[in-house]
Formats: sequence, structure tokens, C-alpha cells
Amino acid sequence: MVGLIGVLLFASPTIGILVNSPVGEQFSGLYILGPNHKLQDIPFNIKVGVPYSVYLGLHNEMGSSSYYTCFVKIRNETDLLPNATLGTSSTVPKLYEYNSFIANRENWEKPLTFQVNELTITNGASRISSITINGLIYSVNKESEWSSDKTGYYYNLFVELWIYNSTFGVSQYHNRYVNLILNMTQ
Amino acid sequence: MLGFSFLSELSVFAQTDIITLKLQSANNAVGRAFEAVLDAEKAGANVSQLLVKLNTAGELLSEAQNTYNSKNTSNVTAIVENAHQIADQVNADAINLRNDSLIKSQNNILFTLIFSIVGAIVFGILLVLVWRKISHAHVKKTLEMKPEVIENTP
Repeated sequence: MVGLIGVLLFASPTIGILVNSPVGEQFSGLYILGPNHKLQDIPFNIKVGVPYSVYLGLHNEMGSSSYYTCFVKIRNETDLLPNATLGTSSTVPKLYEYNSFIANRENWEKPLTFQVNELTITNGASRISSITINGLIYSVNKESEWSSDKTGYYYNLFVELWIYNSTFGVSQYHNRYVNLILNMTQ
Repeated sequence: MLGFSFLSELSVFAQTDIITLKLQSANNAVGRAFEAVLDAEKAGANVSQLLVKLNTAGELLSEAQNTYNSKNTSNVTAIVENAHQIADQVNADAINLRNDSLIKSQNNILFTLIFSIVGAIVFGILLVLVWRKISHAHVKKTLEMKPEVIENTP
């Protein structure tokens, strides 16, 4: 009995190397915070020519370092959002992107500043033709009809999370997105 | 005048194609560098410094892509080449780090294995010696015992 305990005691470092410890749940977190790094003051009523700031954040719990790409897109209420059931991204073209490499159990946070430069409202429809994201001007052509039940012209600025798959050597949609609802006012 | 305008447009298209190719190439280089860093991490290396450099390359790459998406091609080539260069450097550093870590890891496994085997053998020998000594002392003690006669009393 004593012999067996002793042998196990000396063999334990080798057993520790040979036997892999179980891996916990693997996931990534994507979030948007207001300008004060809190869930408050997230912009909703948007005026033309006024810059708005939020923080975009990521948390890596994938068990190893990960390579993430965040795509910023703008949509009207008829454009499709990403499909959570099918795990497919939105077909809306990307405007802006962030690349980040995050060690396991680490966070990443970057400012996301946007400003609608041009908005025209005619015949009960609004059209955004220019938007600035983090200082870069993008031409867009997004039209939104007046929503009588929500009383406004609604758009979404949303961010899709993509992750690099090292097996296939490509970035893939990670089935996560965050969404800012924008009510356009003049 | 018309000829000049046509040539100018051709030049813009050619420049756009070159930038697209450079962006794609830098994107692939950053992906390769990340794979090398991941391999180094799996081999047990501390990759925090490499991740910092990789983030620099990634930020430059996204800066170049974002500038290009905003229909502005100025400085994009310089930024994307810088990102490519950093990614190649990270790739080379990660491969070296991985090789060093694999050697260290193999030595560590060998040392642990030797420790376990030698430790278990020495422990076994010591256990046998102690058992023999105790056993010997017990036999000797038993042999040295004098018989005692106890009378039965009615």
C-alpha cells in the first residue's frame, strides 16, 4: 500500500504532462458601451453633423489567443441582419473594420465614433448619403421610410464579429453582432 | 485631351488593382503570422510580446483597408507594406520561439520522466531495505524471547 502511494507520488508529474486537463466552455464576448464605458448614454436620437461615441469591446474565452475582425455596417429596416439560426453574416457591405489579436481571457476595447454627414428627407423617406466613422468619410446610399408606429426614420449601425479559423486559414463569421438603433432627426 | 483622360483612368484602375493585391497579400501575411504565433503558444511559449506586434500589424492593415474603403488611396500602399513587413517579422520570430519552446518542452518532459522513474526505483529500494530491517529486527526479537511457563491454577 505504502509502495503504491509512493510510486503514484513520483509518477504524478509525468501523469500531469501526459493527461490534458479538461477545457472549459469556449466563447467570445462582443459588447458596446456608452461614452463613459457604461451601459448609459448609448446614442439613439441622431442629429446630422453631430459626432457620437461609443466603445466597442471584445472578450476572448476561446482557450487560446484569437484573431478577431469586427465589421461595422449600416442598414435600414429592410436590409437583413445576420441570421443567428443559420450563423450567417449580413449581406450589407462593410464600411469599417477592426483587427485585434487577444490572448485567452483578455479584453480589448476601442472607440467607435460616427457622424451622419448628409441626410435628405423627401416624400416620407429619409436618405443617408454620407457617414463618418472614426474620422473616415464613407459614401452610403441608405433610405428609410417613416415608421408611423415608432415615429421616426430608423437605421442600425451594427458590428459583426468574425474569427480567424487557423485550420482553414480564413476569417469566418462568429455568429455574434451588436446593434445600435439610430433614430434620425434633422 | 480625351487620350490623356483615358490614360489617367487606366492609371487609377491599375493603382486600385495593385492596392487590392497588396491588401490581400498583407492579409495573408498577417494570417500566417497569427498561425505561427498560435503554434508557438501551443508549444508553451510566452507570446504576449508577439501579440503586441501582431496587433500593430493588424491595426495598420485595418487602417489601410478602411482608408481604401473610403475611396482614398493616399498612403495606403505605405501603410499596407508596413503591416506586411511587421507580419513577416512576427512570423519569423514566432517560428524561432516555437522551436526554442519545443526543445525546452522536450527537455522538461525528459527530466520529469527521469525524475519519476528514478524516484520510484529509489523509493522502492528504500522501502525494501526498511522492510528488511524491520523484518530482521522483528525475527531477532522473537528468537531472543525466553519461553515462560505459566502454571495453571485451579
